[in-house]
Amino acid sequence: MISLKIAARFLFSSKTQTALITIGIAIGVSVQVFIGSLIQGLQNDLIDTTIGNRSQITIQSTQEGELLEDDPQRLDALQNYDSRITVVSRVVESPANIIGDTNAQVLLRGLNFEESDPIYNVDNNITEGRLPESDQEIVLGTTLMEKRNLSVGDSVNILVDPEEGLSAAMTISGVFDLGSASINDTWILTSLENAKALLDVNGLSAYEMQVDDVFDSAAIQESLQNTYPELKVSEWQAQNQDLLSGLEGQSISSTMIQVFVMVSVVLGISSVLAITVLQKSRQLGILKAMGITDGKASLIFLSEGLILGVMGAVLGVLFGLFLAFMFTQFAVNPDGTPVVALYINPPFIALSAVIAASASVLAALIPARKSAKLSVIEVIRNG
Amino acid sequence: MAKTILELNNIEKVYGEKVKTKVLHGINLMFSEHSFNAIIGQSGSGKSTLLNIMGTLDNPSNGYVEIDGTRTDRMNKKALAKLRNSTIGFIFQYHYLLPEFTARENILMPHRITQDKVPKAVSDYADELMEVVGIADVKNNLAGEMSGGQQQRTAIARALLNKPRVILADEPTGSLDSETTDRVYELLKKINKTYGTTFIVITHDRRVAEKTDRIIQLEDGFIEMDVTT
Repeated sequence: MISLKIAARFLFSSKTQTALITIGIAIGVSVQVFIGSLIQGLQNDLIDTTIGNRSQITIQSTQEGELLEDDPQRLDALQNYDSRITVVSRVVESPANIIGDTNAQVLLRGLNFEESDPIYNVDNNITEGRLPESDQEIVLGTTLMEKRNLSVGDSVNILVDPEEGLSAAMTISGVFDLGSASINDTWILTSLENAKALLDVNGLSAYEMQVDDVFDSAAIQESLQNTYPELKVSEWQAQNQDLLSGLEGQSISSTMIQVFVMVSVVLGISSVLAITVLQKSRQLGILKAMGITDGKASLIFLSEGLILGVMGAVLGVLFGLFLAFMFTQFAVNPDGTPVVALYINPPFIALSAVIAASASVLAALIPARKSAKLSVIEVIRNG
Repeated sequence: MAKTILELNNIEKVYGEKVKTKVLHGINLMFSEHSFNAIIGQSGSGKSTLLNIMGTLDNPSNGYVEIDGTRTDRMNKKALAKLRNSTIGFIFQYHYLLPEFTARENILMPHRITQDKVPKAVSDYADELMEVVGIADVKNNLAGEMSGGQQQRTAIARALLNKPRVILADEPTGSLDSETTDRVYELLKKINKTYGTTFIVITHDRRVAEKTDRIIQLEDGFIEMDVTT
């Protein structure tokens, strides 16, 4: 404790020097917090945009085009399979054509809107009209509506099987915008039962799932595949290697920036504390003459490192959060939303603070060793 | 006969690697408990070197020191630190207080560097010492906010806190005026009588030395004179 007290007094007696080094650490930590939050926000944004409104794990038949049995027991089993699975949604789908002046290739998808809502959130993305409520009702994407010059309430003929000539007239009950031009252009959504009737099938094309942590999908997929070897279980990561390597690249560059910032902070503290040992060599000499052990003398400088690190970390976290706040206030899209929604991750921020404090103690090791080696007779002799 | 508290056995000290300078030549001395001793000599006669060796701050090139019957050359660094803390008190010419601490904190420092808690008895003793050396009214002043005399008296109180058996003082009044010098020596004598502490004091002031029990004169690293007054 006396080492900590002496360290605090030493630091307090050189206020300007202490303030400068604390600010130095604080800037390092704030850069770390800000860059980390920015990159994590960017990644979350990217992941959310790419797979947030998509199936992350899909179960289909091993034979293309073959349907799965719509078995309530299996649905129940999948819903309770793993607590990390948040959504299981049934879907039946088929390529189709809208018959008109020019035929348009579309994908007819039958969904149970309640089940699929956590994935596609169609209900909230209806820009006009409403979700299909009765048989023969469909919703179309904004792009398709504009291209075909259609309006809510119009009737369209949909050809689902050109060979058999299976077609039906459907009424447009609403328009959706799911944020993707290709989906808005090609998807026609209707209720699961309506799609089954239209396609004249009883089964399902797939079970679509989402998971709590998107990066758990591979492990869950593997487990599901082992449980259901007769089915084909696929997951998003296997199909998005480019995105993953992009994310990894971002993470590495973010880590590199943070490591180099921390290295410069460590070097800064180390050099300042090394000078402090010289400045305080007289005091160290007195303490050694009084009988302080080399270990306790070293602890003084380790304590200085710890105090500087903790003060710098606290200040740095506050400054980093302030920077992040300013960023979300000033770097905004025309609609006022932030260009990148920062991800404030308390464990990451706490870790940054702990790393900074530990790095400061580490940086104090060399000065601490130096103080242990300081010869009291040299100090006494040199006055 | 009084017990020997500190003994020097054939102490030699050589400085330099290539050009060797011998500053102490086989010094043999014994100091009795409760005695008040003065070491005098010209500048460069080896007084301070001898005192630093006695206090285990410096090592002799040859010979050894015994403090209370224990050879210090056989002790490790930790044991030496403990010895300096509990058995020896140092007073230097340039008071050497910690400027970041108050007078009272400086006085308590020898206790606090070994134990976190300051018992009431130690705290009371610190107050008593401050009364004895006459700095009670500046006890909460930082070291830098006191006069030279007050700082030196604080250093004396600090040297006494752990009730050391021996006080080693190197020109304790070297930076003080003659009036303050007299007061400080009266104080040291009073402490010697009151607490029975052994004093070994370096001084260049013969007038001061004559007030002590024994005068040892060094010249060019040899004992030139050793008289009991």
